[in-house]
Amino acid sequence: MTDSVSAIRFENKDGNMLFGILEKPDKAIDRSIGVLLLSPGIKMRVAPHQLYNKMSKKLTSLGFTVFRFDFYGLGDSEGIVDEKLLADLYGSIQIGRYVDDTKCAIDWLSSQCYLEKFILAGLCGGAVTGLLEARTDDRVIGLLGLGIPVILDGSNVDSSKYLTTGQMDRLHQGYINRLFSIKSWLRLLSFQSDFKVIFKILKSKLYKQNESKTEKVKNAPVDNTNPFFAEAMFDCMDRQCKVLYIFSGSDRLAWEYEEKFEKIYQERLNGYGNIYKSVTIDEANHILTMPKWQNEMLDLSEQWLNLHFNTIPSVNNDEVA
Amino acid sequence: MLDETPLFFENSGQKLFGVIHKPDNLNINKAIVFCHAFAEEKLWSHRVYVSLARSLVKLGYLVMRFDYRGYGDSEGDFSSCSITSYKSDIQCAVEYLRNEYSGLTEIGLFGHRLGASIAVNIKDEININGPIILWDPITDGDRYMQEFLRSHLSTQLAIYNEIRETRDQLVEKLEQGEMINVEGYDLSIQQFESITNFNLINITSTLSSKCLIVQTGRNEKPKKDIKLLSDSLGAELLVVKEEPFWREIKQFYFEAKNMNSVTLEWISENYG
Repeated sequence: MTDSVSAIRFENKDGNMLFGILEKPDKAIDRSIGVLLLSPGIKMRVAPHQLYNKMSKKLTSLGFTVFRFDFYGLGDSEGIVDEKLLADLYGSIQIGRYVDDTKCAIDWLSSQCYLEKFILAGLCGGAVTGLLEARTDDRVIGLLGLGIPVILDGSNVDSSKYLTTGQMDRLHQGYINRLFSIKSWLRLLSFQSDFKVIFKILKSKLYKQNESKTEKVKNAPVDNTNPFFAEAMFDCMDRQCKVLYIFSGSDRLAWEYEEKFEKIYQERLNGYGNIYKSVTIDEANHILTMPKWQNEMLDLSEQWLNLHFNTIPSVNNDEVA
Repeated sequence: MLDETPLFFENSGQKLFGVIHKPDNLNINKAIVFCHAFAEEKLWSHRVYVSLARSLVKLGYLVMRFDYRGYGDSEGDFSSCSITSYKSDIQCAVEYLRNEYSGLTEIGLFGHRLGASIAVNIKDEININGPIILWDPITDGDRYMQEFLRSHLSTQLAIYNEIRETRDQLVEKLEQGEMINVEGYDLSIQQFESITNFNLINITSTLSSKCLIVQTGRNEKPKKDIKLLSDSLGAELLVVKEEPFWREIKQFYFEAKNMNSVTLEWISENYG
């Protein structure tokens, strides 16, 4: 860590003091673009296993100014979160709870660091917040999302009802593997297993053909998809905001994204050319715990950043706060 | 608005990130340094720490929270951490406070899980004379590390639908000098051994200041190891109901209400 790292406090529009860490690149390689790493749920500005610190290091080495901060009520920031359950907190984030805080952070960076262009990056809830903010903010020129959820969470949501085909296939394989495990049978017989999920998977396998026919006929429109997601995506891309979404192969969010958004809008997405890209890292889990997955994510991000934001290094940066 | 200041201070040439929570009173003479938990437990319990700090400020305490090297916003790699480095960082934080706030006459320590264990282990070395508050201290480092390795097995199950490496094989890897990654944290043999060999069961220390141990449990019965620790320290032991907020649970834990409440009450009674 050098003097280019500083602890920052700034106010959000409700007067809560928010905490953040600002990291600046060497002047010689400064691209004059700010990257905001938006907090994923409650894991604050460092993210699980310091994932954001690792991203900051890479991004500053590429010439970006990086700002990681805590939303109100989380991390070190002021404010209260009233939700008692994580699912409800996540649900509120997915419909824009922290969009105003993100806007305040961009305003702060604009006024204090004289930056005009921004890339919003984040894992999970951080990625959704970025998307919803970018929809109406022309200063945002890129979105780098990791494991972005396309659905809405909430304590009133029965997740077993909305299992995707990918999830069901994986769970089905898991149950088969556990058929000969005494522990698994004990769990089942002591009613610790999720019978709703097991039933749904068995049903889907037994009646696969019939069910798919029924679904086609019914074309059931009611699901748990975030109603703001698709609109926000197309609004952003219509104004040429570049999008890279990276998913993890072992993460249900990857299947949900594919089945509830990408497949549905495939044709329309194709029309955006290289403005839109989504990739999946094989085997990786949601929070990218293994170094090889982290490195792959960082490499993919670097390629994308170099493709779209390879601006001429600015040397006249004396005014930067 | 709260009086909270983020700052960096140094230990062995590396910067540590901290936050000072200041009370309203003009003459600040008492402080508590917070020692955080291990690996991802630190992140899950972060907001609970912030809430307790804000409550202690209302009792007139200056509170310092900080990240050990290799954690949060501090410099350093997790793989280089050990009980020794954690102790050194706590010592450095206490020294920082003593240097910056010359009016302090009483400094205490608060810790949770492994943070509590380290706090009680270092208290004599740094002349702690204020309250020592231990929430669910880890008494058996060996058992704790085995539990930590178990989460590696859970990850394997989730990714591959099978266990490809057993705990013994993981330990073997460590012994051969390889790093193993648990929940995204690179665990080295140095850290693994330092925690494995660390236990409070046989601690014989007597405290120069008063100590409170708060244990979470489904009933009022204390765990045997915690009771032993409490007896050997001459500490007061309270058992309260609380969900395990240091790992992923359904609830959002903004604060540990019951732990907070008995802690503040105990401080008021003993140090009021």
